[in-house]
Amino acid sequence: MSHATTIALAGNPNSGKTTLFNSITGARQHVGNYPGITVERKEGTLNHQGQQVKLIDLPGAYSLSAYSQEELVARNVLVGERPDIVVDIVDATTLERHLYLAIQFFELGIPLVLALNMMDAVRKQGLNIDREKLSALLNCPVVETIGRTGAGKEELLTEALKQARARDGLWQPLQISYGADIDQAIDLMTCIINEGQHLTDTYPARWVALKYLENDEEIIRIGRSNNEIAERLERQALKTKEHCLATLNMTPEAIIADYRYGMINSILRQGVLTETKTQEQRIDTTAAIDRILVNRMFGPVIMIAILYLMFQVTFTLGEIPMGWLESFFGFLSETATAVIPDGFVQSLVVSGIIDGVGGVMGFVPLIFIMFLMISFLEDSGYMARVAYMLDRVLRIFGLHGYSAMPFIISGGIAGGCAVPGIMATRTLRSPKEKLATLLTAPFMSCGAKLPVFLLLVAAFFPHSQAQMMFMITLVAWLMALLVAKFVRSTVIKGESTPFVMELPPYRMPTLRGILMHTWERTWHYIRKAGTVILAVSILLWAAMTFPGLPESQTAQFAAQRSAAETAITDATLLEATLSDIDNREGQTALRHSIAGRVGSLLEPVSQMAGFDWRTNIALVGGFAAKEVIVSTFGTAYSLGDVDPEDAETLSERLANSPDWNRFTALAMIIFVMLYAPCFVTVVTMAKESSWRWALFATSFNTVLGFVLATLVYQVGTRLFL
Amino acid sequence: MYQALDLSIALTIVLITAIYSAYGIYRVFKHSKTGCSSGGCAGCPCSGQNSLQK
Repeated sequence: MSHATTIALAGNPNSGKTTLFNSITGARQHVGNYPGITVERKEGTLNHQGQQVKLIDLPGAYSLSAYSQEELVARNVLVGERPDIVVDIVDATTLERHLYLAIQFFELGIPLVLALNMMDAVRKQGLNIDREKLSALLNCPVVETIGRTGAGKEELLTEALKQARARDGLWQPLQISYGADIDQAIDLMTCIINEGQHLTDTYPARWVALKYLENDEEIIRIGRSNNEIAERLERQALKTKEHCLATLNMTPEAIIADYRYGMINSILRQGVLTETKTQEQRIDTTAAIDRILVNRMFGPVIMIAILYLMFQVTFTLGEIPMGWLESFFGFLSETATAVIPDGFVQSLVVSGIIDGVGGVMGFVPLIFIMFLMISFLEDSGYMARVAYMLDRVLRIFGLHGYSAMPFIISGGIAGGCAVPGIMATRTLRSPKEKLATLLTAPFMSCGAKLPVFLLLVAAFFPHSQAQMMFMITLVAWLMALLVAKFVRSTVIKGESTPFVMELPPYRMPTLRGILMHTWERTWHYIRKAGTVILAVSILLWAAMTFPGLPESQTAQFAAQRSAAETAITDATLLEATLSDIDNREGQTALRHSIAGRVGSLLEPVSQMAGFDWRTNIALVGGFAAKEVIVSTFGTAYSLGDVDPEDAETLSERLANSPDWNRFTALAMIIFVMLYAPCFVTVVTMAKESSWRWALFATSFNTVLGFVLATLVYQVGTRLFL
Repeated sequence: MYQALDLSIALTIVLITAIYSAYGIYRVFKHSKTGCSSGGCAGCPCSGQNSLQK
């Protein structure tokens, strides 16, 4: 059997690589209409015309310079793994800008096929691209594709395999002239590199020389393993820079970029890009929509209105199916109680599994509706506008325009996840801005916090649920911005860096795409409830059940029952008394359990914020995953309440509990919003920064959350109750 | 007799869950060295990695 041909999909962010990757492999990698979705490489395998193919989806990169981590990941895969062929996915609607990366591939010499993606949008804009001419001028195959529909993918694969066979792994670097000064320096440096065999086992010599002139930090760092040659090259690069600044008032990097764009322009002007409609006839829908949606005055108002509307629609539509699910889990609970004999197994199944997991699963309809609307906003390209508009605000707080996307992915519009949000901070080039973003992104309302907020809002603010969720989202942003400002003014001081963001054109999302993304996210939520939440619920049930009451106390409750049965003759009164004894026994046993003791231990402090020992158990469990807070409440209130006939929902139980009021709920919302991120997020934070910063975030956020929760509870209860 | 059986079934389920959870924690740390931090997070672009087959 022949070995698999490796094809790498590369291209600028948001050029449609992942859409094409999914279309070719049949996979369901997450796709959104904004840059920076793919921050890691993804792999898939397929069989095309009898040939095994390994497909690699690389992170989006604007260049092959080590400016950001995605660019470095992409470059390292290309150079380190040497795929048989690279397919450069180009957004054909902005051909000039996207060809910049292609030019760098040619300079590296990598075997390449160019995919002109989004050709449907090109035609709609009244443009025409002569692909034969482009192919001839670039000396590389060019294929037209439409990622959304999958058109052209078969031809692309065929052409890629053909080219891979023809090149047989041979790299043919293209030489571009950068003018006398730079060319002279490149020639000199190439000689030094060839003589000393400096990095030539991995990169072409001329390319290394270019990277030294472009001040590529990674190449300079690797190069320093050979001090003598590295010193000569760095000295020459510095000399060239000084010369260029003195003569042209430009750095070599800027000159190199100018010449590359010059080359692209000269290619496009040779009849490659033509307009089929006159300028007057051409309707640029995106520009027309942006005139309103990104307007300085109307833009933010529309953005807030959309956010508010989203919550309103979610609650209006989600109420009915949520009721169905609650009834279903109530029915399951009753059936399990009837079928399984009284004992530990029954308690585990009813209180641990059904009430625990059911509490989280009950929110599936709301989550589904919310994700449906978020998917529409993402796929249409509106999310990128949100990031663009937020840039002005973010700058005031010491953040960067690129910080907006990690915030949104973490749940800025509710329902994201801090893990990919933190990974998305890789697009930030300034380490300080990256750190400030990754420390504050977990404040957003991720998909795991949503059920906690929804539960508390439903229980204590039933008549203003949408307004409350809207306010929670705004407060999360406000807190993230204030904390970012605080850390940027104290522990991570530094200048802000400039922001350039490419706004993708608006696209009408396909129904299939929206449903696929919504289902992906909802399924992840359900799967997490069935795995992580189920496991933690079972463990917390054990911690809330064992060691059980000592025999002396059990005997005391038994004696109270016997006494009541003897003394009370009225059947109704007797039933009520026995139920009260049962409840007290349940509560005492829960408090005596391992988890109960931990919760009680924290109670003297946590009571300042209005949290009792049961809330403490839930909050400690929430470190595993935030949904666990809901499932733990489900179990804790179920174990305490021993009447299986009582079909109260969890929110009703909380609302009727004497230990809870509106301000306890508000304090809880503030604390859950801010306190330590979940365990997986902390590990990701450590990976993206260091354990020191991850532990700082964990402790700082918890202290901040507790102080604010205490403030809300104390002020609220003293002034308004 | 039934009480002992009842307790041992419940404890066995708890024990299996504890082992599964410990493995889950190990996986998070292992994956954190290779790229993806977990998989299975709502909206995470990493989920589904290494399971692609046409």
